[in-house]
Amino acid sequence: MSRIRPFLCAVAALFALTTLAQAETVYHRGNAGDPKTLDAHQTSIDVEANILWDLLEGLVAYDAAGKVVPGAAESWTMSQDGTVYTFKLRADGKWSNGDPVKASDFVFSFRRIMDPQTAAKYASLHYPIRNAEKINKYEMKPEELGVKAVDDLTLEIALERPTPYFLELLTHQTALPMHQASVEKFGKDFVRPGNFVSNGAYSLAENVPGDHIKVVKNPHYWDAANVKVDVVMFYPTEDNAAAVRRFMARELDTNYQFPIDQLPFLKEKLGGQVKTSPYLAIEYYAINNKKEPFSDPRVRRALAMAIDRDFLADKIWSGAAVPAYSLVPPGINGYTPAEAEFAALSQLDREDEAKKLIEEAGYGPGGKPLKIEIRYNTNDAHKKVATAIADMWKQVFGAEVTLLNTDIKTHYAHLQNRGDFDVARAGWVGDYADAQNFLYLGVTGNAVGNYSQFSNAKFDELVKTSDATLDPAERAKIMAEAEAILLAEMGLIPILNRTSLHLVSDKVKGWADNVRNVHRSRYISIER
Amino acid sequence: MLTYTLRRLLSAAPTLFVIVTVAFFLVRFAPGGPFDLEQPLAPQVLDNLRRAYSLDQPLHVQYLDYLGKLVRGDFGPSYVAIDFTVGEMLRRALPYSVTLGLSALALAIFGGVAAGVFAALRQNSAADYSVMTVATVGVTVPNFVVAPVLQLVFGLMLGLLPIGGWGDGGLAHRLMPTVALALPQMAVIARLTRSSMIEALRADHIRTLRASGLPGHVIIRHALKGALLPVISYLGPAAAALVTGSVVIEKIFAIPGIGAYFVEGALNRDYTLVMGTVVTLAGFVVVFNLLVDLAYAALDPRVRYD
Amino acid sequence: MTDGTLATDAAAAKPAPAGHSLLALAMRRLLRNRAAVAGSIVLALITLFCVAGPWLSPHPYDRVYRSYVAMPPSLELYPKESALAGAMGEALERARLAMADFSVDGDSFRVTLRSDRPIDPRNTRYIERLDEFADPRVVETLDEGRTLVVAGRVNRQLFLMGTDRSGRDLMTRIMVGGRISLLVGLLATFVSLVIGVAYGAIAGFAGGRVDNLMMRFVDVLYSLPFVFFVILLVVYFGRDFVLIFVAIGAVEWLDMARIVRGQTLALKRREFVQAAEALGVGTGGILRRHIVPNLLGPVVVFVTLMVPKIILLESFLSFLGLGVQAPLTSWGVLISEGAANIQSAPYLIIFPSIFFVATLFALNFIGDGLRDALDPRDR
Repeated sequence: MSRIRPFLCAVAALFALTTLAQAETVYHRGNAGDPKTLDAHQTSIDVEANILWDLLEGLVAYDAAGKVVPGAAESWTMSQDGTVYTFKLRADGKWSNGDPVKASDFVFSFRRIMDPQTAAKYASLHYPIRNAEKINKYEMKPEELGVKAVDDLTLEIALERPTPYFLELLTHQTALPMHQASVEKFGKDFVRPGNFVSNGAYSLAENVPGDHIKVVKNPHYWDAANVKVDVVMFYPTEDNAAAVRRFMARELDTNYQFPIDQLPFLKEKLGGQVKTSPYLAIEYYAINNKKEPFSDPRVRRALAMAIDRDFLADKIWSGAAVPAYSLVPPGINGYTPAEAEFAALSQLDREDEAKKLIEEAGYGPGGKPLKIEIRYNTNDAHKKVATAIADMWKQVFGAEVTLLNTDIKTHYAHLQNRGDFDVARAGWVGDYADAQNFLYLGVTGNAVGNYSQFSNAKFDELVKTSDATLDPAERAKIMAEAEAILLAEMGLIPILNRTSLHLVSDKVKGWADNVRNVHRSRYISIER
Repeated sequence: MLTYTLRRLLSAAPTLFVIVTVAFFLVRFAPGGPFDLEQPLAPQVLDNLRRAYSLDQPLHVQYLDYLGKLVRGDFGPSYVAIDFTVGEMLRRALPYSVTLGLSALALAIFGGVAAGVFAALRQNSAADYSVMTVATVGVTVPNFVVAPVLQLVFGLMLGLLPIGGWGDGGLAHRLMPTVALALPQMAVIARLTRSSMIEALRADHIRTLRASGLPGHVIIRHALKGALLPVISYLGPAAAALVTGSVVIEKIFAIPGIGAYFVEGALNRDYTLVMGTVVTLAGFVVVFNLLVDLAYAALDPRVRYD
Repeated sequence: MTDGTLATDAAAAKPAPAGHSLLALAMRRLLRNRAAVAGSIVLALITLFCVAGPWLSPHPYDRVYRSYVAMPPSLELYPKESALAGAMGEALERARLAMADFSVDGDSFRVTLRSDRPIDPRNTRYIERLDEFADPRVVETLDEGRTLVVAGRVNRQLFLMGTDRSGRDLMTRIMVGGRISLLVGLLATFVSLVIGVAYGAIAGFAGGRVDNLMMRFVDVLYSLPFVFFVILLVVYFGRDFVLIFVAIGAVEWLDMARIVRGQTLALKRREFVQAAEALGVGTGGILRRHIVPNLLGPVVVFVTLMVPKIILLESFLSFLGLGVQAPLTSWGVLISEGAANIQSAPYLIIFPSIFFVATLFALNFIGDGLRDALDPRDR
């Protein structure tokens, strides 16, 4: 188990004897950070999801390859008009304390997240559920939510309107169920080890913030027979350069995130243990559509074209990112993202075209000087990208580019409060695998996410239509049309699609790269 | 002495009050808030959150509210790590930091004093110069350089020590962080001890002792008593420097102490966590300075409690 | 700083003997101290390197050489001969052209391009774009434009200390970083000096209740967790790095104030000051002739030891990601970037560290030397 260190020899030998007897498999998992909470309704970040998906299982879940598969529900049906889903729960579904998983647990959970008093950060994600938004705004009572238990094993969810991506949405960690009795009994403390009742493959054993979270196999889990790892230790490996050293010293079996700078070095040292795989993450530059000269679509397009994305992806991100010419990352089932039309041109042609556009707009050499300030949140990779882009804009049309970094809170507060800016770095990771989740960034009414303040009636109209279109192919077509408009206007500048960065030891089996970047420990086995 | 201690502790109350007030308004006036996230929140959700945390109240109401709770020992809930109250977080994290800090302080004092005395007794010899050179390196190399180098050498190359984590809190896990944290302070103390020891050895009463033929170690002990005074008065700043250093060291070695709360709290605008950390540290500084003064008085007969 | 105070307490105890200026004596003693002299020379050289270097360097500090990302240090010129053909091949691949022949002769190159269709001469820009080559021009057009012969210059560059992760010359960045680090060190020290001396002198002169009150305030400030304030300051003034250090200086004056107050209090009671008073010398005269010269010692020592402290603090902030705005840099930023790459590119930490440590060493030696020089007991 643990490596034997010379001066701990004797102790370690004793220890080894005892562990041999138990022979439990422990999976040491570097998780890139501490969860802010284990309350599924309060969660907002990926490191929380990684733990919660091990502890709890929603109606539907992801398999190792990131595909939606039955979870706590074994089957479901959708009404003709697409507004009512009926889920059949597993008869052998059990909580970690032995209680059966009942439809009423789900009713309780959905009511709880919509209750404004819960103040759930991602409540808005579930607004498609009937009456959800009104409840969250104190306009209705939680009991009026469109989720009801027909019997112990039958759950009916009614929606406001057809929501084609509803099943995808249910995979989100905020849709995970809660054990009604324990939440009611312990209140806010239900997340503590000893109180936390879970229905997933694991149950919570220890939580020492900053040090580790220990989860142990849940014997009551319906598929417990196929769960190979007995104990998962999650470590908040905040300093990822140090985490790499821990991984290399074999203190960790897998680790999430590593410094992109080190990718070539790591590939050389660790070979196939370094996993980079595309996922639903877009890095883009918001560009102030309401401010001269960026209100001119020609200027926006020129700026977008002058960015040599290949250089950014290969050299700055060391291959841990791929050039992006569309807002929606590739990899969403049934959706082919629209591409900016200049994607087909060579970088040289793009630059020529960019120069022309800038000239037409009356800026650059011979015209008004082009001054651009790039804002980004403090981060090494963002800094390098901004530095490189500043250099590109300078070289292509002699723009005067300055950089401004602020810490992440200031950065986003500034953007969300509509502070003055020219160009600002932003990123989006899909909450669920549907293009709608990305296109929403360009919708006029989106008061907070549309930093560029892009506004186009036709685009809004198409997004709205797509939300109500049930036929997947038809819907994908409409969304792609909307995306094409956004890109033609260059309402925001897509730059890169990030890849997920994992270090996975040779000893770990069952790991599969996937676009959702979900890796549930229940599929992992470890060879010692 | 008891009255002196009590008076000092009493006079700490207004100090703490000023600190709490200044810190409270400073964090509040920083741009951004705890709920400005990379993935933005819906306005309705934001309203709900602000209401849940009473952030919708006027600032002076929040301030009085906070003071009231603080007096009762309630640090409030954390805005970011919402599963815990700030009190719980501090209680949990403090032992790690205190253990680490005290072992580093002990190492710095013993190592530093020993090296300083050693160098002073061999003033201007090669040994003196090499000790002082090493000490100067210790002062000048930032500990975020020392720490990864230690990790590389002892963890990865030699495989002797674990690279990160607190583990069972045993010596193996503590050794590298303690050394990395102690090094700069050890160096300062070595330099201090050396110069004051040289001075002390030249003092009249030591010369007299020497002339009377007392054995060497007795003379050293006498000289050291006086030479330690500047070291002791340096302990206050040393403790403060250790706090700063622990922010770096705890991060690199993945130790769950309060070092991270400092920076994370401020960057996350976790108001209550920042306040809790500030109050705890200020209290710690007050008590520590008092201890230093008492120790100083015990060693220096000229100082009286007045 | 404490040892500085101690030593100079004694300095203050004995007024300068007639005939010798205190300063001249101190100077003579300082020049005898080899470590201090060496330190001064090193410091002067590094300062010169940082201040003048960027003007002499062939590389702007913010110039990104896309062909030379993270190149190790080398005495040889880049590009290396072996890399030329590869670089050309890559450029042509992007232009979707085939490379038929490539030769380098001294500082010029000749390449033959081929394609199935006539080649747009604009394509030479793919070559020009590379940092390795310059002035490409078409010298021959064959096969109705399907074959082009292009000649030009090989652009040779020197990266003595290598390039960083963004393809910028590390040496130039160390120079510019040094400017910033030294500047913030001096600036913050200056601010703390002004505030500290004024505050300390007032408290010392006034004495009594005013002194008591002022020093209580200093005690309160001493209990503030300093790191926390620095972090908040950065969050406030994040835009302007220099401003941060003005602010840091405004927080760091506490030691100075204590030292100056102590000195002033002590000096006020000295016989020579009282004698001067009795002889009817005005306050100004006393200040000029007696107080200031005697304050100078501890203040100078304080300054030389304060600057390295601030430079270290700057590096600490950089480690936390709160350093100076890109593309500007500082030694702290360079070192913390290097520390993240310590395994894959050790030169990125070694070179900035050498300058950083050498400077701090020099400042410490000078500080020690000054303290000894101003300590008259050594006579």
